[in-house]
Amino acid sequence: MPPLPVNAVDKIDQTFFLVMGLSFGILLFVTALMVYFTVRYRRTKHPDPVEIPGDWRLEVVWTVIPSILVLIIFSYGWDAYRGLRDIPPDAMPVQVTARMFAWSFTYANGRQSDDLIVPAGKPIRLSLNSLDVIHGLFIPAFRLKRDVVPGMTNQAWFLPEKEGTYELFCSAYCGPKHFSMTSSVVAVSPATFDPWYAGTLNTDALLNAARGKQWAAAPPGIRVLEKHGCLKCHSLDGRRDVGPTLKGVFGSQVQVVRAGGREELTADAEYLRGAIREPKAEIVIGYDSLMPAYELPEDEMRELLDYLQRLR
Amino acid sequence: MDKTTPKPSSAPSYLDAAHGWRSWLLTRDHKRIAMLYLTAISVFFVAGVTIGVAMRLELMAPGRTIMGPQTYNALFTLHGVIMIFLFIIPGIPAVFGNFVLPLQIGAEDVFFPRLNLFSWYLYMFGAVFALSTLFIGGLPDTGWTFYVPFSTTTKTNVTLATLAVFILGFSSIVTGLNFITTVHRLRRPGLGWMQLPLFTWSVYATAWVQVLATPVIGITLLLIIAERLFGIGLFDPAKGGDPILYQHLFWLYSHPAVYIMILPAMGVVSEVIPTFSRKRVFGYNAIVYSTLGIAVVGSLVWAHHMFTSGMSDTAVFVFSLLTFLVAVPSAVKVFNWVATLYKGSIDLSPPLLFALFFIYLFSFGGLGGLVLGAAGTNIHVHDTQFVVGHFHYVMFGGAGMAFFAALHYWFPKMFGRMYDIDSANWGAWILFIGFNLLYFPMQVLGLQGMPRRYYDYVPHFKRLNALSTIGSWILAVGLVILIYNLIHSILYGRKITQDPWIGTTLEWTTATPPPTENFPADAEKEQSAA
Ligand code: HEC
Ligand SMILES: [Cu+2]
Repeated sequence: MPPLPVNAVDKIDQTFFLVMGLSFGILLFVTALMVYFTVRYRRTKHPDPVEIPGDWRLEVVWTVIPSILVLIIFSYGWDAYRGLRDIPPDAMPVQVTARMFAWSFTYANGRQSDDLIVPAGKPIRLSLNSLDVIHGLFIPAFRLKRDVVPGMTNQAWFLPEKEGTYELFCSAYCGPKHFSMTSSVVAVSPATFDPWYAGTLNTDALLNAARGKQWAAAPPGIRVLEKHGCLKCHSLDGRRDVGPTLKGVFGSQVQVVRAGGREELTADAEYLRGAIREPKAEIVIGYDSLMPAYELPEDEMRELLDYLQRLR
Repeated sequence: MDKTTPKPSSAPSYLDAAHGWRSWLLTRDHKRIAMLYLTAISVFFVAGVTIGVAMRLELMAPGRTIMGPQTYNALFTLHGVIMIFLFIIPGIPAVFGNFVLPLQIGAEDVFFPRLNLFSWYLYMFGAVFALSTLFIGGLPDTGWTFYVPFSTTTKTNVTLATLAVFILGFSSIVTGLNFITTVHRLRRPGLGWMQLPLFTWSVYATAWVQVLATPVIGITLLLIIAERLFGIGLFDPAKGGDPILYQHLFWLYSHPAVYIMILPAMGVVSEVIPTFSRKRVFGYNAIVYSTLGIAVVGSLVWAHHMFTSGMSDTAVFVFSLLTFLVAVPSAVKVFNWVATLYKGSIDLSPPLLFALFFIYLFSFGGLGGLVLGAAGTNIHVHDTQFVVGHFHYVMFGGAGMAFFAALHYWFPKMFGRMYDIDSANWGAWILFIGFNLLYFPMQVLGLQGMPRRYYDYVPHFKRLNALSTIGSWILAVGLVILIYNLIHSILYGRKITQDPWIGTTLEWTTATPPPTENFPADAEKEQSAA
């Protein structure tokens, strides 16, 4: 086995300990002096102040010492940062696509997932793209954060040393449901990863095994909705959310604004396909044009429409 | 000069010189204008705190507690805009700078009294604009940073809000210009630069930052409006624009703005500590130079808000280094303040208590700033609750506490009445305890990875969030006690005509409260000389 690349996390944590230790010491020192002087020289006990002339040597001392300390911290911080930026050449590439309130991860062979499934022990290189506004990829366990900026492909990497499931958040405020833009990093053994990557093990089975979640039981339509993050904006129970509820939408009368003006039409399959593929073309009255465009594979689109038709 | 007993003056105090609402709304007296600011700023502060407490209540438990996500997002934007643009930035300079600065340099008023009143009207105008988004077109939900491209796509009324901030910026520039001119032209003869009181120095340095940095945000916000209305594409990558450019422009102002908020606060502390230790401040020169150092270097560190944005690593290197350098003058100040206490005769009255809280909380926040300044650790805590905790420590714990210190220090001078010392002490301690309980858990939450601007969170962040919410209640109790005490004392407090603290700066040599001309004896002398 090749030697593990140096994990950036360790250096970052060292810097955390260094800074916090020093800070705690300085704070304790300043506070203790302050409290001591205030008590020791309180007016009732010390009515006559003693004028102490300024002393430039003292000023130099307490300018130079903090300067040295901050330069030390700076260099530790910079070194730790380099660890995050020096991407090992053998890292496995993954494309990250962010859009309002959902993450999607695409692998070199075209495999796609909305959880970041990775083989433990292998460095992962992430290329970050956004389809709408600025998002931020944040994986606290790996001390990793990088903004996902439209029109720009930022890079990041991390090393999942151990198998496990780690939280993944959106850190840059991106709209009404920013807080729900979460996913997870699922690090599995290469023995599990390889068949998944090759397509012989399906995603639900892998995730079920990794975190015991019963996805397979849900109807396929719901899984499509979950997978693409539609439920971040649409409810299935009639509640209004960022977007209109999907309950009963199939076959209903909807009021939309088109290039031509206001219009009332029936939400048939054709309309719904359009609403998903090109949401900006018709905006449902009373809602903002916040929905990103989706290019769903035909089988998923069918499952979805099938499901919506039954959801009354 | 006999400092303790100001000459009894026949002139009526500025409060009694005229009556009726016109005498206030059309006044050109810097002291009355300070009062206008104080009234408005206090109202906005209370509004901002109320919103903050409501947000904390929402975050007390996971899931929906009292409001939906859209309301929450709008509220944190409004909270930020109110607290930053309507409270902290104008706070100390507009209220105490206006009241005290001319007195401290022995002047009769500021150099442009009419402009001074105008800038108050601009401020009120901007404030009304900002608050009108409550009713017109939907409260912006972008955060006070108005980051593109979200701010150019959201349907909420970002245009009106940015226009409001633009107007407020104008008010800030006009006030700054006025102070600079006043300090240059109206110093009492013989009062040299290195004899200026430290509060005046810091307001003067701040004024330069206000005048030089504020136009940048004005232009930036106009660009957002242009983007929204005409889609010029400056920040839109689809049209060859760059969203990161917006962030540079925004922080080019908004980081120096941090020093607009904190420098006057440091000035207050540099006045209060010597007065209540009965000593001269230790290291006057060092404090002046560190003030100027902060004003200059502080203008060159803006991009430390953007280490994760994708700007070049060279930029990260440079801005991280400069950020550390600006920490040093702040440390120098803290050491000088603490040294001033040494062998003083210390009276722990409310102003000093607030000043000591300032030193503790500001140091705490500043040291947390080292975590943010170091590139490697910044990446982990950027955009998390750690940052929220950090800037509340330095802004509220720093500028906010100094505002209270200033209020309790100059209150007798301003109103000619004394407040209840015990209530003030109680209020201060409760505020301090609530403060730490509110913001310390946030810093821990950030280290654990809870992002900021989150309406909801995963269950394992539950406990610390609940703790923080409880802290917000304690803090609110402290504030209620403090504010009630002051309002009550304005109306019914014991009348005084003497300087209660035996201050050494010029404002204490005139009557309490001062007459409209500030130093009538001077004016007479000048007239007879002319
Ligand atoms: C960022 C939030 C968001 C996401 C994510 C989102 N939508 Fe939407 N959606 C909206 C909004 C807002 C509208 C109404 C405005 C419009 O018509 O564009 C809408 C409208 C619709 C409509 C038309 C509804 C009607 O009543 O006419 C359909 C169908 C729809 N979305 C399906 C989906 C599907 C399927 C997905 C996932 C593949 C999805 N949406 C993801 C926000 C979202
Ligand atoms: Cu996001």
